[in-house]
Amino acid sequence: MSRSFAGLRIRERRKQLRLSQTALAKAAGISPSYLNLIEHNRRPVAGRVMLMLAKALDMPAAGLGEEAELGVVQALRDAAADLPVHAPETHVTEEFVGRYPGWARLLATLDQTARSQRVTIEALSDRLTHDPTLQSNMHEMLTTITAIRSTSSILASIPDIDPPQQARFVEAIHGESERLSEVASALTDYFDNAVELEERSTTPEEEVAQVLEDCRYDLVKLERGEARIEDAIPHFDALSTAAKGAFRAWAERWIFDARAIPRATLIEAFERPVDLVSLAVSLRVPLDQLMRRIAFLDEAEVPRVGLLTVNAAGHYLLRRPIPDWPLSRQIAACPLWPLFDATSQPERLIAARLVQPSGQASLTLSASLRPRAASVGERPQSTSTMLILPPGVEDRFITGAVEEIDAGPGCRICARPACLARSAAPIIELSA
Amino acid sequence: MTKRVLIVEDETNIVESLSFLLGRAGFEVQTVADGALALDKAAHVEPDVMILDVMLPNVSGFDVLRGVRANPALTSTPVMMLTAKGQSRDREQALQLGADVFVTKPFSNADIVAEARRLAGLDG
Repeated sequence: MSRSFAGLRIRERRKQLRLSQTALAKAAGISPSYLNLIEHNRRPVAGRVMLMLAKALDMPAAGLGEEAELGVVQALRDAAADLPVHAPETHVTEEFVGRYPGWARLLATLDQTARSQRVTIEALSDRLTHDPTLQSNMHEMLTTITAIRSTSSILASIPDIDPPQQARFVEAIHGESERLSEVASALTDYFDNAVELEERSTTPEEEVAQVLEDCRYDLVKLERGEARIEDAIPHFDALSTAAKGAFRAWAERWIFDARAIPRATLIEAFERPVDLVSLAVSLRVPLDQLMRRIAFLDEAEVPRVGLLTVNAAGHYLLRRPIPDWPLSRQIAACPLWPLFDATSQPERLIAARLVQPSGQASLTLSASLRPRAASVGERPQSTSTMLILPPGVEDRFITGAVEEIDAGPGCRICARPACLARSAAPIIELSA
Repeated sequence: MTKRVLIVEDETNIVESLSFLLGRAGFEVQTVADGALALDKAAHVEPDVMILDVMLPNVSGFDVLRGVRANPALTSTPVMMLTAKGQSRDREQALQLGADVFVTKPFSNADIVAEARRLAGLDG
């Protein structure tokens, strides 16, 4: 891809210097026809030719094909995939980046900022909805304000109040004012500490999720049997007792999955687009185990995807968030997510593109397995698993027909006012 | 004939101001602060209007309202529910359970008195 930028840059710079192709070719010691091919990206440029051209154009060779621009191209492609409604001309992304690198970087930065803010807004909405401390303080504040407003209104509007009653009202306002100060102070402290609270894990599962993200799921020593579970992650001892237990359970399942699906096998499979169903059959593993293995493996050759496993009640059992899908445990899932459809069609892989209220779209692959009892009398439990594929990795999977579903992040933070599946009012009314 | 109002609210200063306002408006005012005692009190007082807070100790205002509507002697008693501003679910639930009107905190004194008079049949 870098040759694309180099060709564009050379042509742009040459025109800027008002040089003809012939003149530049001569200065660089190559033929005009070869230069023409380079400028139109039909020949790569590197080595001595690159240096000669850079010298003739009076610019550093690095400036002809910066690797950094590749990231900008990818960022713009991601942005285009998120908001396809604008039909951006993706076929000229590289040319756009090559011709207007500043504008391209600006656009990519704006998109990344918007993504980051979207995640922050969802986290804050999450907190407003579920944080018991905040709800309690808000209720206390409203109650106190009600008492002050009602009492002071009486004092202001009714002149003939008995002095003892008047004194009681004044005392009430005084007492409620002090109470309001305390509540306001508690709220201020609460918001001052918001960042710390945001970073602090509040449940054993969240503690485990955080340490796994911190070590980037790099558990290769565990896979090779070179480390005990307790030594597989840094700061295991710092975890709460409950989180230690949760991590052991998670790690034991991870080792089980790793033994069933070797890393090398998965890497080899992803050398071409993968049909998950066929791969699971060929490996003789359940489909959801394969999905888990992919999602919980940080391996450069294996696409990075999000994962969510729920039980029949919709509770999150396993999750791996990705930047645009925080998958907060505090927010009930959207009932329109296809992993809930999967329970009625066990063993079938459902491919669906979820379109969020913001227009952001993500491809998902969902499957539910037919539950089996392990012993007589045991009631089998049904679970469903969904992989969330960021735009950059969609082409690493074979999906078949893809249904498009207008869904949301969960009713309490969803901005679809007319959604028939809505089961709870949104905490913040957002314009759709 | 003097109309009776029963205020079910655990916040002392709100009870004080509401009692003063409604007493001045001509009501006979009775109060109870605990949701668990509210139904017995209501059965004893047989109020013409109940003002019922949602957040009460021991038994919630919604449960009290259920009990009121299930009691033949109280089932037609007009009920004004006090809900916190922003809690749209509370309002929906209050109306579904049979509240006649809800007023959000912080409320205006004039609204409370006007609604109490209306529910007691003192207007018109």
